[in-house]
Amino acid sequence: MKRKVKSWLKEGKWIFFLPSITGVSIFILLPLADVIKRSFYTAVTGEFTGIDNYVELFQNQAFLLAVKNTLRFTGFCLPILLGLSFAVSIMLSRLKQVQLFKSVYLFPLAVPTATVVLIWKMFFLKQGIINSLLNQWGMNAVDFMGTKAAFWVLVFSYVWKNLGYTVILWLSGILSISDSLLEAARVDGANERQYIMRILLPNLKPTLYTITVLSFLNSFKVFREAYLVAGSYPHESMYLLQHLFNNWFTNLEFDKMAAGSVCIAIVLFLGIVLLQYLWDKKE
Amino acid sequence: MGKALRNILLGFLACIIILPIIMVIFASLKSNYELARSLAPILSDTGGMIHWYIFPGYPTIQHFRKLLLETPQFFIVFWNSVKIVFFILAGQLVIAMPAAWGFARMKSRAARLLFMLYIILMLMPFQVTMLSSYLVLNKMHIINTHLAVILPAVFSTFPVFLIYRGFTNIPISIIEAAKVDGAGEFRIFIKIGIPMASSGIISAFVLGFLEYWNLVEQPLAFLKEKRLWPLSLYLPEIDLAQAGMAFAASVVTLLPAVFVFIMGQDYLEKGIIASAIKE
Amino acid sequence: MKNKLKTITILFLIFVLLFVSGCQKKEETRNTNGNTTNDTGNTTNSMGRYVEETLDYPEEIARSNGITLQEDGRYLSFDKGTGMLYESADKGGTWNPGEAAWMKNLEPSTYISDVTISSRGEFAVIYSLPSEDDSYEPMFMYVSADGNVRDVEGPLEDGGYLTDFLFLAEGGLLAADSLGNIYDVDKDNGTISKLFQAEGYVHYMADIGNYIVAVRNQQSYIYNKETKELVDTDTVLDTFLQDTTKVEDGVYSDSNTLLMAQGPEENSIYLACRGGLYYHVIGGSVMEQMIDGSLSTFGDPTVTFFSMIPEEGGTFLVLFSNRELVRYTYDETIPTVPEIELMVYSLEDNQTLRQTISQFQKDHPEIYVNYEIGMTGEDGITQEDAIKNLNTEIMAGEGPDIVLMDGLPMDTYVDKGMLLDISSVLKELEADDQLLSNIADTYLKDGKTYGIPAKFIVPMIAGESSYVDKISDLAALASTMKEIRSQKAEGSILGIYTESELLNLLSVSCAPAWVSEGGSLNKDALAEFLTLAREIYETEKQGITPEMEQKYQDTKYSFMGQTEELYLRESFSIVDVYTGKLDLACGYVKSIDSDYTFNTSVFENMDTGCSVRGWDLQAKNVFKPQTIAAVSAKTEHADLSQEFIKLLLSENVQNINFGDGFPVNKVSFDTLAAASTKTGEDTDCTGMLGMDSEDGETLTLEINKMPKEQADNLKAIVQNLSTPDRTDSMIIDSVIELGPSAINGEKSIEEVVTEITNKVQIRLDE
Repeated sequence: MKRKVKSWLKEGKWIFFLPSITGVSIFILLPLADVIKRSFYTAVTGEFTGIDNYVELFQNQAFLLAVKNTLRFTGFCLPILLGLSFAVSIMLSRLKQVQLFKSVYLFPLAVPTATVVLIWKMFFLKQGIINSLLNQWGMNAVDFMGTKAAFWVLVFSYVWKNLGYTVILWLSGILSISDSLLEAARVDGANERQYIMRILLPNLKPTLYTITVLSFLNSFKVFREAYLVAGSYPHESMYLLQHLFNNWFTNLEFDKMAAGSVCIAIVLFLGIVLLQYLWDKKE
Repeated sequence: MGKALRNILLGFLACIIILPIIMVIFASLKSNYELARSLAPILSDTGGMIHWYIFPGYPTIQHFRKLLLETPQFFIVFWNSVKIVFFILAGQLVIAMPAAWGFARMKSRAARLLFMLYIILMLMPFQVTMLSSYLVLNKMHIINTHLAVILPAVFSTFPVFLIYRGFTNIPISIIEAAKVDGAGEFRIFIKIGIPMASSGIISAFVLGFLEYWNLVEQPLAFLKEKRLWPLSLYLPEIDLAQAGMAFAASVVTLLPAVFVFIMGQDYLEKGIIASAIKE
Repeated sequence: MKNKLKTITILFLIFVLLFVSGCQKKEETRNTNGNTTNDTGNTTNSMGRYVEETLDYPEEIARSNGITLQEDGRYLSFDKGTGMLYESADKGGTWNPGEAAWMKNLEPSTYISDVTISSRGEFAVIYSLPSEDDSYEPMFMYVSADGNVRDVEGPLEDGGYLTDFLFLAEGGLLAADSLGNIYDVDKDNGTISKLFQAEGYVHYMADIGNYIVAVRNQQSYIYNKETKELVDTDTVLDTFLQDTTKVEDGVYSDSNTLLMAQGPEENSIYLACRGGLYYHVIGGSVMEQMIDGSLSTFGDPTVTFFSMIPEEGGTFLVLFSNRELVRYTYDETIPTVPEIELMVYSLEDNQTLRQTISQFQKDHPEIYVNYEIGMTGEDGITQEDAIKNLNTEIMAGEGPDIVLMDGLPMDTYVDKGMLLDISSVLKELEADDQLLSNIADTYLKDGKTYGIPAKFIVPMIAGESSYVDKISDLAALASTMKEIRSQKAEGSILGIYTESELLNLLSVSCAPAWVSEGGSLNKDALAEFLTLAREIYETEKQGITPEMEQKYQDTKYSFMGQTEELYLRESFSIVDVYTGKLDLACGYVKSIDSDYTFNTSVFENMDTGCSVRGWDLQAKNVFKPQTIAAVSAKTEHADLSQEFIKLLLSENVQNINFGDGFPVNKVSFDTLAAASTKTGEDTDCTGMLGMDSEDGETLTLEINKMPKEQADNLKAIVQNLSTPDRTDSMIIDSVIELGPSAINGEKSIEEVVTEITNKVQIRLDE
């Protein structure tokens, strides 16, 4: 052990980490530690309660609903986004004038949330544009925000915002596959499907990894839009973990929040470890 | 897939994506009266359906004029945003780049573990640590100053993750060659690492800019006084009376972001290419 | 690449434009922001503050013109009611009445509107004689120092009339008229010549060095006496005026909330306003606060200012509208900000609280009361964000000592142990029978109470007795409406046009019935509510024609500045009942004089007998507690905080009607009720109301105080109140949001009840 430590220090590379680690410790780890501590005490009066909070947590219907919805949301939006963006990127890769499309696709990222929200309201509320179009075509209006359809509105919003960016990520990955490889495939008479399965996908694994992590990160950001459109208590199907946390905050339920946060952290940790393991294995 | 079909599909997709933005831009040119009539069914309860025409019937720049020339608060919030984003990005430059380099160069178990920790921290939603962060920042007496927003963001692990990819793509051979020439780690970092990963770095900053330009939760929680607020908090609650100004403000908020990524787009792509090549 | 460059350059240019114009604006605002010392961030160690000392001002002066300093050091003050001129030779300590010689020139029945006195003993008088046709014809008089009386030009060509006079330090006389013109008055022959014009009626004028400063609507007009021209606006001054002399919500108008006086240097002004006393040099960039309004009478929301005189030696003599004559002297030995700080918090601005703070501050000059408002209304903060901010403050140990629980989750705060038990305050006041216990005890449980409502509002219904007397519950309302409808095929009954408006209106007296003891939703009550609401809606809709509908939508558009909030407009609806537009007026009644008495007065003018009663629907005898005072459990000043609450509930504070509810203090309630009850004298008539009826005629109603039976009726209603409306707003919002589909038949009642239950369930689960 000592020898290892010595050799690390000798390499002097730890200096590169130092500023970052210091800052991260203070501004990120310290609050996190506080959260962990809070998960074992009552919210305001600060009495020690052991694992009571955790027990309460797992019996809490609201929490379970939120977890279910969040998992469901991630489970849908990630594959949809990845699949759709991949398809689009393949199509784009054949095109000569990619530039214009790329610029257009990136736009949604630049739009501020409040604006996006207003636009969604204009489209999706009961009296909104989509419904009035449906009416004109003789179909029934759909109460988007008040029914299970709300969930899909959320998915749509997420895909709309992140599609362009994800497409570009894929595209860059695709375009970087060396031409010689492509030539070889063509010469061998590979058809479209084989091309995708045998050549593209395997070489895109690193891209896939980055995209997955980033898309996962962005799936959390959909909360603000959901909140601004539908408020603190949206339709059941849209009720995410962050709604719950937000409401707990307003009601001083800091103990439950802390316990919930710790659980999330553990889940994330396990998830990343799993991903990393799968990664290394495939390599 | 037929070329025509493909082009049509792509074009259609582009339209869907850009439609909302076009609507916002045109909406900002509509007069208050038009907006009120169109939006009333949505924003208040008067029954009836929305009537929305894409193009303004009587285009007007009154909103922009009001916003830019008659609202001094707008400039305060605008420059607040600029200040906050500038310092965050500058700080990240100094903090995150070296850290990313370190991760790229050290493959030890400890480093990999630390990196995983960084990724996990990156994924934590703000709500989770909101209260605790407030308490920590409060103890440091920086609540209600811009530092409360800038400092935690400077140490965000997100740019580390992105820039890391840029660095890992530098062929080892080049680095080894430099070492043979007698260069120390730091020199390699400055002379070789940064230049070669520049596109990756810039792409990280473009994304960072977009993120922090639209930041809402942190300023809301940590900044008490209106005079400190960034642009993202200023977009007024859009109600009938202010709809026009809100749209105009949206367009103005959009512009810098668009500006930044048009400038950085080339780099964005190159950076992404680079990050995807080698892993 | 070329294309790219182009786009980049264009965008960049736009940016430069923004930058440049932005820079300019920034400069100005920076000046004022950087230098205005409005914030209370004074360091605790700095010393020196102005202290108040109250002098004796003659109580008998009913209508004072203010006080004026004479060249020889005497003070003069004129009583416009009696015509007596008071003199003080000892700097305001004692006052001696005397006669003003020129009063002899006026008829006994003359009404004197205003008197302005110069520093040399000259007078400018605005008066009028009673005329048969009630028209107002003001007349103007100038009295020189040696007693010569001269008339000043009267009615002006463009229909305006003179409203104010101002004597200049160097001897001239100016006059302002109702249209905003400022004139120079020739003292020898009484003629006037125009100097400059403001956009409209000028509220304040002062003579400052080389300039005349006139203020109208938070905007200043500065006239250079030498060049005889208006100079460019003083942006620092204007920004200051906008920020600190805002008109408060409906309590006092723009008059008498700003005073200006000559400062020590030539073109410097002293400004007095709610924020305190300030010093500014015209055209300069500094606005210096010398006296903090929140630590002095300046900040008292119930007083306005009559006069302010800067004295030699740096003191100030100020006459307030409550007859307080106060001298401000600088004391270096006391700390700038008192050492003990008490923090008071409310989600929204509350006048009663402000009054209490002002009073408390006066009683305790060693304490600094800091008032924090969660939502000032100017920023985009939502209620929830404000609550979250408050929670973080509390958790960080910087929370308030005293909290107004209006809009805050009371039950949660109690459960989590955030509040202090203040039952001792309650018991003390109730022992003296000071409070209306049925209201004050709202939150009393097991001998402890964590909040005491200081005010309350009551939902009431008014209209023809034959209808109103029958409405004892929701079903009765539905059937009575059908009855009305059978006799009145067209026209609105309740005045509502949409489903959510109806739900909002009815929820007032139904919501308490929706939640059962354990906190869960009472599905049957909800179902009954929706069923009957549907009936009511249909009955109402039967009489609404498409034209009426269109007219309503148009008026909604025209109120573009209005926010969503549906206010319950019982007293306004009364007028509509009178004109026949509506039949039933329902909503919250908030004050005795302007709401309730107004109702009864309109009734007196109607042919059929009318009554007002508490609005009973699914819940009976409902009231809504307001201004709910509570103390934080983490406070370090428990005793002081409780003393504050006691003051909030005391007669002194409760006697004042801010329009925010009936007082919970029993004595105050009776006092205010008595003040609004007819006594058989002339004061019974409090005003006239004019309006246009449906047919285009103009009607005038006499507004009187209420007869004794009505006063008794009100007392009876109040004493019977037993059901506080403490329903979680989330539940009410859910019903209003999801209810419409049940009301208009889109969905079945059971379906909607299930929807609501599911939605609320999440909340209950949390």
